[in-house]
Amino acid sequence: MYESRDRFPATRHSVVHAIGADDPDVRREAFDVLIASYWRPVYKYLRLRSGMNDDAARDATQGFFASMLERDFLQKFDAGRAKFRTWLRRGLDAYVANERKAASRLKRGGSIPHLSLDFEDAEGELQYHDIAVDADVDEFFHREWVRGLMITSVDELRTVCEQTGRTTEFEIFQRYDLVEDGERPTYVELADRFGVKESKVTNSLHSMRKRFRTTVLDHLRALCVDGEEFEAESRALFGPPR
Amino acid sequence: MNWMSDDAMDHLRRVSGHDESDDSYGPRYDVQDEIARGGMGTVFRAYDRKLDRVVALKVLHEAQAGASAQARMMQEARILAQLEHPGIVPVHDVGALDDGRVFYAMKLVQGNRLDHYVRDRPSLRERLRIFERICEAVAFAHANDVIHRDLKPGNIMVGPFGEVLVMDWGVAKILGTDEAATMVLEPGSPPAAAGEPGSTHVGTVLGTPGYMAPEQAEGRVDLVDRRADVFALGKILGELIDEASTSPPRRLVALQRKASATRPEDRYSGVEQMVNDISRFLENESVSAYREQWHERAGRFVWRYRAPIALILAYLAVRALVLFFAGS
Repeated sequence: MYESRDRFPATRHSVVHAIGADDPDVRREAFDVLIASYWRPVYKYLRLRSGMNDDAARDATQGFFASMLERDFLQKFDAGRAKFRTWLRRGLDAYVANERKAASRLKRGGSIPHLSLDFEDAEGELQYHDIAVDADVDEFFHREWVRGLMITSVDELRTVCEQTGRTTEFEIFQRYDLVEDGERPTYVELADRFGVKESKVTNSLHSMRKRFRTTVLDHLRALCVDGEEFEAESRALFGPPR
Repeated sequence: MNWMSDDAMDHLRRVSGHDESDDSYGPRYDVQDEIARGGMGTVFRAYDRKLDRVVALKVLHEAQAGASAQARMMQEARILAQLEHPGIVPVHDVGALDDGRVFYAMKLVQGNRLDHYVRDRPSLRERLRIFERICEAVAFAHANDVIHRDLKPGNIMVGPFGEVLVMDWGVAKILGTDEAATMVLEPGSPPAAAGEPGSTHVGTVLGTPGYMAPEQAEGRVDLVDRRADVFALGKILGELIDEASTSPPRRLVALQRKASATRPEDRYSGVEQMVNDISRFLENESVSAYREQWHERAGRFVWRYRAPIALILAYLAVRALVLFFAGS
């Protein structure tokens, strides 16, 4: 059994607070976490909701995050007035409007630090989106953010499992819980495939799901302003404890 | 990982969204060894994290996870929940796995199956005491309008202190409900242990050859009632008697034959009458299944009152000696 959590990343502190830290290294680290969590929703939002082509959306994504760094944008966030994600999305709208109004878009990559973001990857994901269905702006932004959070957490879980010799457990989890299309295999089929008992399949799935939830919640905690927001976000993500 | 579909995301949120207080299968139970595999489901030993105890989980077979099999499993759990008796295994919880298979959690029974228990060669009296308890549990179910329909040594557990638990109520039936619906399984759903002697036969008729009453084996669902269980109990009693003695008492043989008579109307009308005869036999009294000759009755009388008779005889012998010596 794998009850110990000591091999998993320590619980993260709120990066929203860390953005305002005196230590520039702490600020930079917090900013990196924010970008990692939000750049995909931002890019897809610009592509699908703001009608930008891929070049324009790349520039605007880079520019938006760069402006956040330059203008101490995040320090203006007031947790009492809006959810961070909603506030960020509105800030993005304002940024795009300002850029268009100026009508002289700054050529990014010069004076503004260039962020290493895999736009090709995000562009490839757009084929899966049904723009007509993604009607609500906030819902779209939220869903993309959740998707990013889950993808990041799965990747992290995979890495940890590889490092700790739990690849079979992860593969069982992957083949059952991460199945994208087609039919989900039965427990018996999975047991046959991996040459383990059916009870091992059940327990692996339980263990991996628990770890996955822990990983997601760790990321989520980092992206929330306070415990209250974290409670609300985790409840929205996984439902209330039964 | 580059992409996760909405469906995969929603699934992941659903299955990962339970905490320790959740009562669904995954988080609550730590499934361990397989204990038994039957025609309908597999029984696993499992640790119940919520209540910190070891339980048994009966999980429906993959191949039979159709609606009717699930309904039967749920019915079994409900029947067990209604039959609160020391001789019937208590059910703690019901639920479903992610793939839809229904399970229920029950007490993990310690002990031996009846057919294993007799290998330790208990005396006939000990066997009959155990058999009495089996009958009491079945009689309780009958009083609640439930018939087991698959009584056999493999479905009866005997604990270390002689306690008895009647198991596997998977083909049990509540009298007065639609029998055809509960008797017949979907074609092409073979049992896990097909062909194994003593295994529950699953196909068109539920039960175990050798213990099934003729009317049950013929699929005469309209004729199957409490006396089908009486028949199975008679067969079980026959095995217990045969293994205990080469020349069992006639009253007991008659009792066993009456229980396992071919025609339902020739059997005991209920388990209560049968267990009453067993108790009377153990008390060395007459049984309803056997008409005694006068000398048998006298012999039983003598045996039953052997202690006072011996005292009276001793007293008479002493008196006779006293009179003899006094006279001489």
